[in-house]
Amino acid sequence: MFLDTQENELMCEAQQALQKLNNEKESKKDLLVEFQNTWSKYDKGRAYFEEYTPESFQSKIKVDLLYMDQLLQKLDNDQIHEVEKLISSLYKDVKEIYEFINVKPEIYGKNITEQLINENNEKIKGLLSKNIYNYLSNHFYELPVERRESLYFERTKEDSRHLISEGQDAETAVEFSIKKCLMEDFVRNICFPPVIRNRLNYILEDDAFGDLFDQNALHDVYNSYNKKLNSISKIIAVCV
Amino acid sequence: MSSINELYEQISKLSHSDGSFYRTLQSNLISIVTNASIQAMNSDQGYCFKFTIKANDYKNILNILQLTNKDLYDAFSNDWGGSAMRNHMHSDPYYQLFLLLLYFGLKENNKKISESALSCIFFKLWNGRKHTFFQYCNKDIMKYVTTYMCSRKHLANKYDTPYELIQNHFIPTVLKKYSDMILQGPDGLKRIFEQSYTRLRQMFVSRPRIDLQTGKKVSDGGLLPLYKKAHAEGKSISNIHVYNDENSPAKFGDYMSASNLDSIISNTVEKIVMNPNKKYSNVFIENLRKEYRVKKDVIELLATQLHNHEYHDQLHDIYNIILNRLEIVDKDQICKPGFSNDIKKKIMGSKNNKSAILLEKKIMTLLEDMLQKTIQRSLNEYSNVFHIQLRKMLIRILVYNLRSTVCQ
Repeated sequence: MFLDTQENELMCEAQQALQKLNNEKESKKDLLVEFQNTWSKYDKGRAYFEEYTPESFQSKIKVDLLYMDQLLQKLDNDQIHEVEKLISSLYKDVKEIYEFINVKPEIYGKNITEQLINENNEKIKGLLSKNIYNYLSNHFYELPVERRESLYFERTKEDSRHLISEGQDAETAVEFSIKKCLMEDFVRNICFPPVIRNRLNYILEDDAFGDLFDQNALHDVYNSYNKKLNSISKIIAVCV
Repeated sequence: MSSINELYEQISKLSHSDGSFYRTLQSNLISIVTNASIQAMNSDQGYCFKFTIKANDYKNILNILQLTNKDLYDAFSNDWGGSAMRNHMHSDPYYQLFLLLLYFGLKENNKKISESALSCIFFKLWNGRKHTFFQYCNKDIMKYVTTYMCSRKHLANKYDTPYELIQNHFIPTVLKKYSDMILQGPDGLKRIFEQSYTRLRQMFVSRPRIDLQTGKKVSDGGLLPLYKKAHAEGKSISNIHVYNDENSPAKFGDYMSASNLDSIISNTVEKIVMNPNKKYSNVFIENLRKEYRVKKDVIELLATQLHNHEYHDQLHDIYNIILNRLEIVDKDQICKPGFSNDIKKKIMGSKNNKSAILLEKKIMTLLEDMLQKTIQRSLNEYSNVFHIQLRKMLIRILVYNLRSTVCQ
C-alpha cells in the first residue's frame, strides 16, 4: 500500500510524536515533584508568629510555675528546694530556645492566660487540675489498650527494664515508666505548647536557618533542655 | 577729573604734608571697627544685633580729612548726578565719607583703610535693613530661625553674628569683585555701594513674588519669612519644639541645621565605603552573636559586605532617616550614653509610622542584597521574626560605624 520510503517517514513521524508526548508527561511530573519539594521546605509559619519579648516570657514563666507547683505538691520543703534548682535550670534553657527561635512564648492549657496569676488560689488550683486531668484522660486513661501500647510500649521499655534490673517488681516498674513518659510529654507541652514545638522542630532542621543562624548552638541548648526535662519528669512521676 | 577724585587728591596731598595723618586716620577707623567687634562679642542678640554708630566718630574723621558735609555732597552730586542724590542713602554724608575713604584706601593701596571704611558702610547698612525688616526683633526666635530653619546655603547659618558675617564674608567678597571697578572712576563707587545694599538686603528678604490672593509683594527666602513663620508657630530657641506628627506639613529635617546633619551622614557613609577592610572588634561581634543568634562568621561577612561602595546611596538614605527620626542636631547627641537607648526605643521599637516603614523597606532591600552576596540566601527564606532580628543587627552595625566616626 505504501512505498518503503513513505512507510519509514510515517514511522519516524509517529516516533517523534510519541517522544513528544512522553517528554510532556515527564516534565509535568518534574513540576509536581518540584512543587512538592518546595512545599515541604516552605516555611509555612513564617508570618504567623510574633516576636519574642522578655515581658511575654515573664508572664509565661509565672503561669508555668503554677503548673509545676500543682504537679509537685506532694514534695516536702527540702525536696522542693532541690527541684526548684532543676526547674530554674530547665527554664534557663527554655528561655534561650525561645530567644533562638524568636517567637513569642505561649502559655499551655485551655482558658489559661497570664491573667490566671491574679486569681485566687482556689480558682488557680481548679483550672490547672482540670487541665492536668484532661491531659491524662486524653493521652492515657481514655485510650484503648492497643493505642496505649502503640504510644508508650517502645518508649517505656528501656526505663522499665532498668527499674526491674534494680529490683523493682515488674508492675511498679511499668507503672512508673508510663507515668514518667506522660509527665515528660506534659511538661514539654507546658514549656513549648504544640504550635511552638512544631515551629521549634522546623527550625531545628531548616537548612536556611542553619546557614544564617547558630543552629548548632540551638541543638546544644535543646539537648540540654531534654536532659533536664527527663530528670524533672522522673521526680514528677514519683509525686503523681 | 571727577569731583570725587579731586577730593581724593586733596586728601592725598594732606597725607603727604602731615606725617601723622595716616596714623590718625587709621587709628580712628580701626577703633570704630574694634568697637563694633567688642559690641558684637558682648551681645547675645545674634542676628537681632544693632551696631552703635557714634556721631563723634564720623565728625572726627571728617575733621581729620578737613572736609565738610557740603564738600562731600557736592562731589558726589557732581559725579553721580542729581537723581541719585534724591535717594536718602546716596545723599547721606556718612556713606559718602566712608565711600571716599574706601576710594582713598584703594588708590593708596592701604588695605586697613579700605577694609575699615567698607566695614563702616556695612555697619550702617545692616542697621538700616534690620530696622526696616525687624523693628521688634526677638533674639530667641531669631536664634531658632538661624539655628534650625535656615538652610546651610543661608549665610546666617555660616556666621554666628552680623559682625562676623560682614568681616568674614561681605568685605572680602565685595572688595575682590569691585576693587578694580572702583579704581576706574566714581561709577564703580556707586556700584559697590548699591551692590553692598542689595547683598545685605538679600539676607533679610529674597525670592520676591506677588501673592495672588492679596496682590501684595511677598518674599519666600531670607530671614524675614522664616522669622514670621517661627513667630506665628511660637517657635523659640528657649522653647525648642520640633514636629513629631507624621501628617504635619514640615519635618524636623526641614528646619534643623542641615549642614550639621549632612556632614555627619556624609562623613560616616564616606568612612564606611572608603574602608572596605574594616576589622570590627571581637567584643562587638560576640555581643551581636549572643544577642541576635546569628553565626559569628556570617556576622563578620555581613559587616564587611556593608562597606561595599555600591551601598553608598542606600546607607546615606538609611542614616538620614535614622538621624531625622532621632532629631539629631549635633554630634554630642550621638556620643552621649543614652543614644543606644534612643535607638532601641525610637528606631528598633518603632513600627507604625511612615519613617519606620520607610526605614524597614530600605534596610530590607540592603539586607536582601547583602545576604545574596554573602551566603547566597534570600530574605524570603526566613520568617518575619528573623527579618526583625536581622534588621536590628544591621542597625547595631550602622550605629557602631556612626559612633566610631562621629565620637572619635
